[in-house]
Amino acid sequence: MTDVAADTLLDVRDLRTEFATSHGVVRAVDGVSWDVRAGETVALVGESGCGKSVSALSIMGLVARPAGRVVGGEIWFKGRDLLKLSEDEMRDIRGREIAMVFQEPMTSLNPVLTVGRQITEACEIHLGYTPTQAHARAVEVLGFVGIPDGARRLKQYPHQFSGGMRQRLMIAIALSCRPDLILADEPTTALDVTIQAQILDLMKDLSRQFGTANLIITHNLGVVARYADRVNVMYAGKIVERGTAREIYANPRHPYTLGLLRSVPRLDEPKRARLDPIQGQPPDLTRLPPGCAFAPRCAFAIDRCRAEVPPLTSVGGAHQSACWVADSLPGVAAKPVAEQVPA
Amino acid sequence: MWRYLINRFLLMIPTLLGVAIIIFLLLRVIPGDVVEAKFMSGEGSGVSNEVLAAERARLGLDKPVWEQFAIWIWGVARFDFGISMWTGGPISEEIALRFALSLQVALMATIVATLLALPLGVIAALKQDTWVDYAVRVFSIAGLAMPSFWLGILMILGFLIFFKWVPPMVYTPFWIDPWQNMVQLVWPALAVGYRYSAVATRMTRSSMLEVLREDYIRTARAKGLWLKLILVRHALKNAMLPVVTVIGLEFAFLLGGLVVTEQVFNLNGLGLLFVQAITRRDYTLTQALVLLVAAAFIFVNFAMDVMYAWLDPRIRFR
Amino acid sequence: MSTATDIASVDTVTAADRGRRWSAVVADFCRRRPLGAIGAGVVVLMIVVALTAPGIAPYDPLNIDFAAMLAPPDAAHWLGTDAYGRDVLSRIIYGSQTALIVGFGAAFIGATAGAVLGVGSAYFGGRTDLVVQRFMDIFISFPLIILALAMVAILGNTLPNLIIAITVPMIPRCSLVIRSSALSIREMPYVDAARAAGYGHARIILRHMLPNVMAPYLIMLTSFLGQAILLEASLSFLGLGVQEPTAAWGLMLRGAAVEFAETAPWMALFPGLAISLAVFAFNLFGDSLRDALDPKLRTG
Repeated sequence: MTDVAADTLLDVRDLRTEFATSHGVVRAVDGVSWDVRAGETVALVGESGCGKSVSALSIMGLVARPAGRVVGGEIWFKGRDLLKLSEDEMRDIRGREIAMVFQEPMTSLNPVLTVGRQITEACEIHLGYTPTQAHARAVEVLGFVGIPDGARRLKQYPHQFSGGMRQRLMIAIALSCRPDLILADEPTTALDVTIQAQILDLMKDLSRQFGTANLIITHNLGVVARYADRVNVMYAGKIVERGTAREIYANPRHPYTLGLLRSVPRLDEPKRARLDPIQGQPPDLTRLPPGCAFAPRCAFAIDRCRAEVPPLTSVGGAHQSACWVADSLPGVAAKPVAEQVPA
Repeated sequence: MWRYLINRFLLMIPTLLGVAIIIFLLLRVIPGDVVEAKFMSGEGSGVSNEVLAAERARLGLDKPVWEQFAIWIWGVARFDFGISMWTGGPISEEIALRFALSLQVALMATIVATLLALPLGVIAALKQDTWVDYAVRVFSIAGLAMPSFWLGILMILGFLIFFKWVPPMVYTPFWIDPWQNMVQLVWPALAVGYRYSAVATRMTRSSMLEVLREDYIRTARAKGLWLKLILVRHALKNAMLPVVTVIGLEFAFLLGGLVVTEQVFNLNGLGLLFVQAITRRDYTLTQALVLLVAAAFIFVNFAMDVMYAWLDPRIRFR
Repeated sequence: MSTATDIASVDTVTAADRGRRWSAVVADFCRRRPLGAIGAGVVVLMIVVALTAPGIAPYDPLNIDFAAMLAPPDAAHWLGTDAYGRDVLSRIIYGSQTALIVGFGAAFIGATAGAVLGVGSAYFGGRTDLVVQRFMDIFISFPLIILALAMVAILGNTLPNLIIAITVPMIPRCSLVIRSSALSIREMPYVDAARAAGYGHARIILRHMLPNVMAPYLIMLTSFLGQAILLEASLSFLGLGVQEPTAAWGLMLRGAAVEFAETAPWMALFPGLAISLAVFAFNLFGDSLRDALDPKLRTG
């Protein structure tokens, strides 16, 4: 286990979350460890269904029951294991110390309540604000997220805001109680490309301004490069590679990361015109292969990959990869694998 | 949104006119008329054709159908429903007391239904697929299955056998003796209210289930709100929209649809009056009743739209 | 032309495949919706009883026996006799025939006519839609029982007329529901494709739209079954439905059953139980079918 740094805010250790489905048990999060330090931005990256959203919901204690439940691990937050807290204690943490921003700003706000009501209620409950104080705070946070004329806007309803504006509202709600950590689950996926950058810039700014740590969950490595300090890449419920954003971006040491990078346009390599999507389908979590879960889609797979699960090991300092052939992978700029290695 | 409501309001007029035309024609298609019904049955048989013709002329039944219709509609437009062809009394008087009775039973049944349905439906939704949910569902499906007139018979049977008590034959208006009035009407209200609550409970449950799966409920939980606040503030208001509709429509239906229950409990409400009117071929009375009941239904529908607009800002600000 | 064959092949499933899937679907339904399976079981039992009534009824339901008038339940008459000495059990057994004929007849005709109107209204749209919907608005604002009363008064008291009378108020309710689901299907590309392939309106509606509103249709149909049985019982109870001496549950509750309620409560008790059980079973089954078919409420 990695040493816990003095400023570690959230330390997830060997987290396991399962879902009972009609096709069998799905290990959505299968022994995952990662941490977030105070004030930094960490990214959790992977395709949909890889367990990244479930990780966030596990931290919040919001995994849909009875189908889903956290079956193992520890989630240390400011000296307490969240998994051992009662529902009442968790409720005090949600919104107050850890806030969450969801993927769908169109449906995540209650259509029949005013925006003001939805921002103020958390302050009233967690901080004991009077309605007047809460209102003042709401106007203030609207200002932070770049919505002017707060006093008037607070009386409006969500449908009177555009998608990007609604995501700002979600961020305002998250900020309202001055949490230490904001979990953002695909915060920009549902938005226009031009709005995406604005929202991410905003989150980064607010993080600097208030020292709030961010966990950004995304499938888009492009987002990661610009906004995250450290990156965890997830595949089929496990972390397959982690490191600083620079390391992951410049020198990926897992074939899956490599595939992700090749499948997004990169501004720093204007020469490469082609994008290469990863071959095959995300795995069926009820029937995982015995070895590395990525092996069936991996162009570099050797026999060992199909038999043994590779552990997460260092490939240089804190940069870790769970791949048997991590050292022999080509660089990002190399020619697409499929053309290089004859099948 | 005002334009929308005004539009909806104006749409009530052609619908009511359609109802008027259909009931008017429907009655003329039924074999026999009020004069025959009056004179041909029982003691009056053997009356000469001249007498019948004179009576028809007196009631205006000898005029062409379109003219009869025009006269009637012109009256209705001025809120003058004319006189009953059977009793000769003004229709507004014939209907007034019976309307009060039916309205009171309908209101009481609505209260019974709402008080039962909301808590049961919400609990069933919260405890979906547990024994609580199954119990509520069986209770409500049973409510739908039991004919309310049979439930009424069982109630009366129960009173008779266990308390030697028979419901009074004569209706006591609320403003004359409130206690007597309530004792008389609470049982039909319960018998009807059970069935009614079944409809509303099922709607509450399914609507609540749908709302509880919404993203904004997850947002509310992520804010660290307590369950009660999430339910009351975030879920109920959204879930109530379809429930309010069902309650409203059932209420409108009860106003004129309590025929069988009224029979069982010896209540002279609108339902029995309708049966009476139609068997006597009392055209004017039947027409007035149908129009009244349809108007109530259409108006409740309209009121639901207003309520929707009030509850749902997405409509309010359209 | 290839478009047309593609469309045709969409709903062509081999017979063997279909057979296997049906049994699997039934097994799955029983496992996941035990309440619904119980309801379906009672419905099947009712159908069997109705079909074999002459074989299993202990007496002729019309046989008047003044010696056994108002006899309480005993070994000879399990559920007692009525004011004419007719066997209550036998009348309930035969009454199931009336209930099922009216129930299935009215529900099927009502739901089908409603579906055709709803689909047609949605498919043709524009003025047709407007006119049909106005008409449905008018009919829907007639309270159900009043409309049925008027229909019986006009058409008379025969069984087919009773079925029609009960059908009429159901049609607009069904057409409303079917129309709204048909409206969304109308916008689907395969309907455009069928039109582009030169198919006639009737063929497109029958072959492509109707199969796709099957789920709401089945839901309406099953919910009408219980309602139709209840409505028949109510009308018969009022003396406006099935006439004496035919055995019908609602009729058995009429008149004498209430007069003799104190001395012969079985007369009022058992026919009411029969009605409730039948409607309960149909609703239980219909409910589970709705849960299974309505994707919005599907769990897990």
